[in-house]
Amino acid sequence: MTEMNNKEILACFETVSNIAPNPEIAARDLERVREKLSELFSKHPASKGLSIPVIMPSTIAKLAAVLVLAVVLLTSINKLRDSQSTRKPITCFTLLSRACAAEQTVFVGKHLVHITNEIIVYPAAKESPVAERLKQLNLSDGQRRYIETVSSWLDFNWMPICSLKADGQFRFHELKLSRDIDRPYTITDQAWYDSATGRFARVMETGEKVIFANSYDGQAVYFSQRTTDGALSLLSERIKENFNPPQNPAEFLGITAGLRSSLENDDYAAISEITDGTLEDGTPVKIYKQGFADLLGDINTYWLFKVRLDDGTIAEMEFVTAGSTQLVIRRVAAKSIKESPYSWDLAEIKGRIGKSGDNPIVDVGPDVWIPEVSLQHMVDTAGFETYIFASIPSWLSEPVISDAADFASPGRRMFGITYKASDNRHIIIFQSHTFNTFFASVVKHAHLIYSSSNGFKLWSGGPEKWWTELHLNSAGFTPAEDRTGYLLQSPAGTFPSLAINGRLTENELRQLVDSLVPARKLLELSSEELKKMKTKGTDHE
Amino acid sequence: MTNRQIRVLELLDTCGERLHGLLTRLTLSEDIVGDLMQELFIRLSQSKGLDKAKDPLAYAYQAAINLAFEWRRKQKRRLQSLDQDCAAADNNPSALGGIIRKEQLQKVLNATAKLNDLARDVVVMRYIEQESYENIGRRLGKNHRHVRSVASKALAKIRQLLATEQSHHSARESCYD
Repeated sequence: MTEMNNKEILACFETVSNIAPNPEIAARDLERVREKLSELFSKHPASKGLSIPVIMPSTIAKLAAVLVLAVVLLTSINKLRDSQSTRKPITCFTLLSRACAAEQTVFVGKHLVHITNEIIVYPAAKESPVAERLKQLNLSDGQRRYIETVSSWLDFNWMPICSLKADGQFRFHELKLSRDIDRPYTITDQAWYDSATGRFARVMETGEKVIFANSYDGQAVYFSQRTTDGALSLLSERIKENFNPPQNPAEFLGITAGLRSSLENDDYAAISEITDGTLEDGTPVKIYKQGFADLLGDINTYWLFKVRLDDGTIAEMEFVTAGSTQLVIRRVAAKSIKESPYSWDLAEIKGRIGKSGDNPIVDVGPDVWIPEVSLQHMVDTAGFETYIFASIPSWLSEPVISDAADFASPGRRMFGITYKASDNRHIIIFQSHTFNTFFASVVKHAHLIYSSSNGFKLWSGGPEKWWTELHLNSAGFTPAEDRTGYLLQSPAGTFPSLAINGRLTENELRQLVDSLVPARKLLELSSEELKKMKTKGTDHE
Repeated sequence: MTNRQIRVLELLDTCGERLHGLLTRLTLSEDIVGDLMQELFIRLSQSKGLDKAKDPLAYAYQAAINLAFEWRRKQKRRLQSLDQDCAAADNNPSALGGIIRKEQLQKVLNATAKLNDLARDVVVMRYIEQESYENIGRRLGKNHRHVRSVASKALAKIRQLLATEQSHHSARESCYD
């Protein structure tokens, strides 16, 4: 190599100055730094914090609590649904799943079985640890107001309950439990089951008022439902031809009904603590804690499962947020009886069913979750522009759209579009009013990595590992270590989120984003046009 | 959370990409930049200097330059791997051209690493980050004419360092002939 003159040296510098890092590598590296700082700062008491803008940890932590509750419960529903359809039977590898299984024996017997559970709802915590953290941060009034808004999402608690439909399938309801109260209140949940015939009755009451009822008398199912004037009525429907009574009543009448723990073998690590304890009557129990770390790295939200040592059943489940008990579900009695106080058609409760507004602290909303809905349903129900991939690569399955209550935006619905992948890189698009609002203010802290020709912006960065885990869990997948997440900014200004259970190549990612279309437009296409579009997607590969 | 930690997080969010780009250019290696970024932000979170810095970005910027050239100085010349690359490229003129070009860039950056701190910072800001002399002056607290003079002298010094390097290289080659 000959000696270099000034011009050549400057040319070298110019070449260097034109080097730009690959945006994906940059985004990945920045995320790594965020994680490292988060870990580092969390090791020092005075320096708890997170590797995202100051406003973010607190807001997301609040949102986390809402999502964690929703996800845990929806995950439970998924497991329940899977077991119902026998595609994925509940396994018994861990103590907890054994405890769930142990409960099944309660329902087996020659006589009528009577189960009584109590759901005790506690007032919302006055002060949260997150609020304490906030005091240490220098926030503007606007930021504080924003956090307060998100905090208010926690003012209403809920849990899923399920009823049996005339076709033998379950319907999932939202049991709304207000925590804006001065003292705890109790809901009594009673069930009667005849193992010989499969007939059952379930009645939930607060005081003398019935808030939920469901039964099966061998000919028809009976269920409580709000009519158009808001009154709660007991309706009936003759069973359909394909009706089969549930084979495992513990799944919808037991203490874990609708709340069945997802703690199977793969999820055993989710148990963060096991301790010994006793129930109020002195019965010894093992207490399993399943915690959920928020973005500050703290576990302020967790379930405590108290499993009896004598028969291995779950005696009590306690849900704790912000360091205080929010919900306790406990078994009061499980015994054989000769006769039920109610007939199987529940005729006796008609005078005790509540009217709308009769009991403002407890209500039952319909359809907390509908596992499979049509594209038309999503378009009609969403209230905002929804999007879907117009062309699907061959390694992904056809989409399954699910519809769930958007808990942080009462009255609205959220939609998950799930594409199962042959190589486990499952993809879920989540779209909701809450995310549209929330991510609009968050996205400015993310990194733009792609602008598509169809008007989408693809953003990366932030706590993607955290929220993709929530999304994947809620869809019933085991999150992969290398899961990735992106925010999409649509031409309509909405913010669908894209959770991927693995990594996509740049080409794969771009093709998917490029193929996003408004769901309503897909409905307008003829089958011929649709076929062409799908073929185009395959041609890309 | 301490003020410094808040500052570090803000820096990561507002300037992370820029600092990542700078480290990529100064190391010419995307593989190492992730580690260096981590090291940079850990150092910043432990640095009292950041508390006092009037311009946190300028402070972080200089810390990044220091870190990149520190890494560069620690690097042993990768003659072995380069030789392998050259052997593989013997029958491929374009690949060979690319390798020679990359070697040139490495040499120029290695020479830059040998400059004193001020000259090195000025070279990076002016010739790599393409900033104006006025901006550089403001950042470094120097008169822009002085910065211009430093840049000019630094360029001459780099040329001299490269020439010395070249003569040592030629001498070594003749020994082996």
